Amino acid sequence: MKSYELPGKIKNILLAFIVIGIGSIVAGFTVDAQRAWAGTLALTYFLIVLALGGGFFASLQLISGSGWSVVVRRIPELAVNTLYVVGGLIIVIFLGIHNLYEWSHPEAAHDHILHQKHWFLNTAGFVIRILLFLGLWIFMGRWMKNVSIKMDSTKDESTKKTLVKVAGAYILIFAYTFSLASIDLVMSLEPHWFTTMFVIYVFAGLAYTAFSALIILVYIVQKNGALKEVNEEHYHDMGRFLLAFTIFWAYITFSQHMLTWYANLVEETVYLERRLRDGWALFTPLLWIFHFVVPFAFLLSRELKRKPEKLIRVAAFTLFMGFVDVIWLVYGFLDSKKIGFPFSWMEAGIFFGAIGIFGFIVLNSYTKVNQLPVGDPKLKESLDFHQTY
Amino acid sequence: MVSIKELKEGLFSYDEPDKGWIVDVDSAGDMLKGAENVKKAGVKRFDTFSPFPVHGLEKVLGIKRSWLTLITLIAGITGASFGLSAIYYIDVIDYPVIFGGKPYFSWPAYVPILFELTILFAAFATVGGVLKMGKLGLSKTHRRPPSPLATCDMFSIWIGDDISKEEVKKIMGNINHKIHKLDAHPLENGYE
Repeated sequence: MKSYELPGKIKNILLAFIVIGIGSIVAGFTVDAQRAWAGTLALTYFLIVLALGGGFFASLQLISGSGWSVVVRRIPELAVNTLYVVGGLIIVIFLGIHNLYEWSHPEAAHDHILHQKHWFLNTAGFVIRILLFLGLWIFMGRWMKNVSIKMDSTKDESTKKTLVKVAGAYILIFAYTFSLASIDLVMSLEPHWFTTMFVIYVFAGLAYTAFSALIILVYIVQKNGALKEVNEEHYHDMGRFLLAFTIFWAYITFSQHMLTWYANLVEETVYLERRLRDGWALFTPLLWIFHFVVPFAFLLSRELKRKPEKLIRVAAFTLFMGFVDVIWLVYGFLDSKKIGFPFSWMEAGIFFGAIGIFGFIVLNSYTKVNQLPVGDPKLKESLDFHQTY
Repeated sequence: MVSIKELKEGLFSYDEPDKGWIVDVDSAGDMLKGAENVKKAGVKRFDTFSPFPVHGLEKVLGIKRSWLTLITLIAGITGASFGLSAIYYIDVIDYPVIFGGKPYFSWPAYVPILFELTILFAAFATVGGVLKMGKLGLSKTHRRPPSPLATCDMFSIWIGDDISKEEVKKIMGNINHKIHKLDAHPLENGYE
């Protein structure tokens, strides 16, 4: 089977996005270094979300034995390649650890809560954990990708069985490491805050972002004359996944904030209180409306999910809102009086940089492999896939 | 959203087999191909019988999308409005009590209840709708398959238009098949 060729136009656009992203961060450091550090962290975390989201989708489809998704599985499998760039960005985060994390300051020893948490939140532990997680993600993602590519030539049932086992291990490791990495990278920005729902909140955001990215990538690849096998039936299911996780995100968000509101405990309310004043007063309600209400209303329609050119618009919007959600999580520790509205040219530039890096790496890797997992025993089922009413 | 035309046509609005031909074929794939041929030949009244749902058949048969989803939506909205008015009456009008320093009308606390009532109403309406629209259990008129084996391992196409046996043969083309008159089906009274 002929592999995909990345057209020069798309390549140039994505490279331009990367330049915009780097330019915004560099310019950001000259204007407001503190904000630029937070922006770098948001970029890193968003790329982790996209890369792991792809692996999560692929392994979820494998361990559930689903047939419909085989034709779209190759692209998410390649998302792991983004993690090499994340590795570089993590080094930058390590350099800026004192600018970002309050618990890394020497004064933390005199703060009761931070002192109690010191056994977990300390610089050495943080660096070791993040490097360990990153290594595990790259190792597991590459393993799953390589077995899947090997299956293209072996085309047998036993390779598929191995692949399913690797996917099972991936999803287990993903669950633990992504949770702990999110706590380390994002939640510990506000180390005095207590919650038990943070991890599931970021997981809901991960699935939401990853499914949006998947729909967009499949559409771009199809526009360039490849992956003809994907039709409205597959878009319908990807759209339904996006709808499901739109609802799931709202469910988790509401549960978390409703319990915080009801219990009214200082160590919990501080998080939301900080995000409802100054520039955030407008930002937070807008996030809730445009992350959930608007995409939900659109995605309910069956006709929209079956028309790729319409679904892609919603998916592009939800991908952007996935990034805005990351900004919401990361920027909260900054001085709200100083930053004003938390979304400016710098964050927009970083968003373009992130999609440029992710899109370029994934599409570029896609040119080197088969378009479809041609050796998958369930490929026929996926090609014949059909939705009833 | 479903249109009024679709609502009128609805699901399960096909004809009852009363006369015509029964064509037995070997597989679900042959049945699908045969039904496509029948449709292309311009036959108005026809239907298929199979022991399991066959993908793609609903397009050939021209079965419209079910309006059950609309029933579910309306019942869900009813459930939510009922819940909201009930809680509002109790908490704000009839017996206002302050809980934990919150206002009388504390909407975030109501959301789980409204959510559950929406689902409860929608679920009952959907199950009821399936029973009613599918004529399952509640109605005495059951649709009779032209052969008892159509619920076991046989695939048949019923052609209700007034055409000759030769025409049916021509329509089926190279698909392996057997043609019977509807009222003289050999399987009507047991196995062949």
